[in-house]
Amino acid sequence: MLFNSVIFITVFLPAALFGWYTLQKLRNPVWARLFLTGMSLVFYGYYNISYLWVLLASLCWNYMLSAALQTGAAPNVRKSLLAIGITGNLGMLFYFKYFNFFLENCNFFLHTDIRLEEIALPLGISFFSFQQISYLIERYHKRAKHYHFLDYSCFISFFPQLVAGPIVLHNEFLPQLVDRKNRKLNRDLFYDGVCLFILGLSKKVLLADVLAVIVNAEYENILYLDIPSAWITIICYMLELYFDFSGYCDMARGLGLMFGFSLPENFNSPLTADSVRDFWRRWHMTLSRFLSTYIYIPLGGNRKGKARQCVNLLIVFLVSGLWHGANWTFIVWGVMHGLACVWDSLFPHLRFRFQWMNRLATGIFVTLSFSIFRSDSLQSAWLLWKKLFAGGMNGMFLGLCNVLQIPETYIIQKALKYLFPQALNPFFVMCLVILLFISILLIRGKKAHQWLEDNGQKPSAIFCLATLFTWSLISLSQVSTFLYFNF
Amino acid sequence: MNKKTKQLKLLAAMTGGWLIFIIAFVWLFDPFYQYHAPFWGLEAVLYDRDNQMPGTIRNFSYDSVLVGSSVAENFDSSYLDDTYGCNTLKVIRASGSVADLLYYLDMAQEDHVLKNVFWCLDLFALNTSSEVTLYDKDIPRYLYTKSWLDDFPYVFNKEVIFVKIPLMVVNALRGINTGGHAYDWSADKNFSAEGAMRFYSRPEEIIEPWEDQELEGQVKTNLALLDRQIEGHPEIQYRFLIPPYSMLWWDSAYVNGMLEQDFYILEQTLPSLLKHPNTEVYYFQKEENIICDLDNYMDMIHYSPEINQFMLEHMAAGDNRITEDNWENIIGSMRQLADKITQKEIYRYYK
Repeated sequence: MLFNSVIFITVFLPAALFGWYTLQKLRNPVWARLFLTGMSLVFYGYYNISYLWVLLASLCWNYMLSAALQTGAAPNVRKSLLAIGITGNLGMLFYFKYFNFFLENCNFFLHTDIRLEEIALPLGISFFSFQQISYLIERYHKRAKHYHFLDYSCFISFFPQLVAGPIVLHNEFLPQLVDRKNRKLNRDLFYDGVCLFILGLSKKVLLADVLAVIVNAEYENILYLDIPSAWITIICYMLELYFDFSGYCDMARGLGLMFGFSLPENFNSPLTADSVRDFWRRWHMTLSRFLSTYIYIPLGGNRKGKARQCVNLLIVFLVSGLWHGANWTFIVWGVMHGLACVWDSLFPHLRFRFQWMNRLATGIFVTLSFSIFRSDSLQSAWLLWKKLFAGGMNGMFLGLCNVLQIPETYIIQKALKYLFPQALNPFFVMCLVILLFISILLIRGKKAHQWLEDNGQKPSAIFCLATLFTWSLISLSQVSTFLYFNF
Repeated sequence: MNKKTKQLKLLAAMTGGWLIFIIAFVWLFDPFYQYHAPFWGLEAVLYDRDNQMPGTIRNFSYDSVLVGSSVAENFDSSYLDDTYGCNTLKVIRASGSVADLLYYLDMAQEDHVLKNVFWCLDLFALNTSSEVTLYDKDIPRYLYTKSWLDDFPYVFNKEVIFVKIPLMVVNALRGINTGGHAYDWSADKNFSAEGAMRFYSRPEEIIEPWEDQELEGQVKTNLALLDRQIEGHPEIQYRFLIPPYSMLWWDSAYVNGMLEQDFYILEQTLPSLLKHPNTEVYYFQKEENIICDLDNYMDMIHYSPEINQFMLEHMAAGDNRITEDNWENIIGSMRQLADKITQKEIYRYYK
């Protein structure tokens, strides 16, 4: 089930909210938690019922290890248990996500002919695996207690964050779950949640999905791109990815608030970052936090000299690249970001005098690197880069703009086609310019929750939210998926 | 009352207002005619075959139907109304599938008493599955149910609001796809030998005739479905028109080793239809002047609206009618014409 689907908005969400708050009125909170866990499993199983077994197996495995990691056990036993736990999680992740990639590379480099298996990637496996690894490590360090199985299941499977994050830590969720005051509907939180959900939905449906029309069409035809169309394509992809994922996270946080939970922020205007390190402090913040807490710092962070710090940074970004997917494109993308962070760390003062130039340079680097991230293979990424810098001019730019035939402008397109056919191309160019202008305005503007804090009480803003929701709702007939589901 | 509670109520009220406005707007225009026929004084605009078909069958007023595939869409059904004194609705399925068209006919007969069925019968469609294919994943289910509970994707649909309704209004104002020209797609199409040849490439080697294992069974089942329909409704007059595909179609059948299969279908179909007293069959495939002149076509089978009109006029005049007495002779002359096409006529266009 997608957040941006009719079934979710009109049936699943109202039913889940109604059940949750009705059962919270019972003296025993177990029923409400059982219901929420059940609904989360329905949400997850709706994609593909067979995924459910993977989630349940992972839940049970980690819960058993948590139980075994009792504080009384000997240190070496605890260490072994942690190693077994992490190996189990990574092993499952390796099998479902990387096994075929591994075999493909064995076949390629060792000239073997091992048959690939058909392995369906369970949605969100990277998210819930990392979340549980984090829990196990916290248990090992005695910074987390062993919770009731129902509470633990509720935490891991909580549907707003289950398939694409944010990666929530146990101490951010479970205290809220057991807090008595959270058992009553908090209307302030609920209203904020609804508004945040609407803003996230609009970002996804009205912006990301429109940008995707261009990106998908042009990535299918890289061979025919010229310099301007190649640049517009990668810029549109960067914007699409941002609105897609940050829209999803806004929806997730909004849903969390509707249920009375505050989930961590995942984005902080990342496309206004003035260095790559700054970018990673603002983009997918909960992943950066995980990698920093559980890989970078244990490796020594910046405490063991510059050289070691650089190696640590490279390792972290290599893992980040691999986490995003089993393809060399992700690895190259990760290494690029790692090298950029190493550069930032080695030459922190080597910067442009004007801040806007630093932002522009960072934006260009990030956009270029994400063009590899989007490519199917390194060959197509290389072809795209050739087009970016030596693609010449073949008029493909107008073809790109013509892809933007969205229903909202249909009647204008038809009128122009019959009355002023020569104005049709300039019209499509104008549509693209408006789309990019709105995107840039939103990137530079206030964050969704800040905008709500400042304007959420004004009738004009409420009207705007009602309009955005309705507009998004009528756009749902063209169902789309979220880009981050498969990571 | 808590301030945010008020805001939440205001948000719900405004959203509700928008949703009610959209429901009213879509219900009023109802481009797929799911809820009502056009209101008094307004003309139906039929331009979106698969989406509009179920609604028009259910909600329009008519006593005759013109059934067929895409080659039947360019008929001017008002000619039938004037000639036979009836009120005709076009019932079209692009594939010409007998099972699908019979499904539509059953739907029509739920609430309508039919006098005439004019069926432009594609013989090749008799060699397709006899299962109804209307529940394909690409066709929305809500079109086929009477319940409004599943109409959400129709009512709250950006494409319906921003594309289908404006297009309907514009077509109504410009008189496109109105009256007898429902679903007519001929505007802006290029009917020419050059255009037709663009869709045809003759293989270098001619394939030996081969046996289609499914042919006999499928033809038999589809003809049985037709029999059941005709026998079940003796009060309806059925008029079948066998449309004239271009000589490219015949040549294609020859070079792909399928010519005998086509004649098999013809030999099975004609007597099967003619045995019913309430059936008339009009045969246009051996109109040499039409099928050998590729300027009448845009591809192998799709002909210009003039040919549609030719067929209607000849049917009205009783020409081209075949009977139990002459159908074998007609097939014989069609065989001769097919020979002439594949040995001589085709080389006028295909060197």
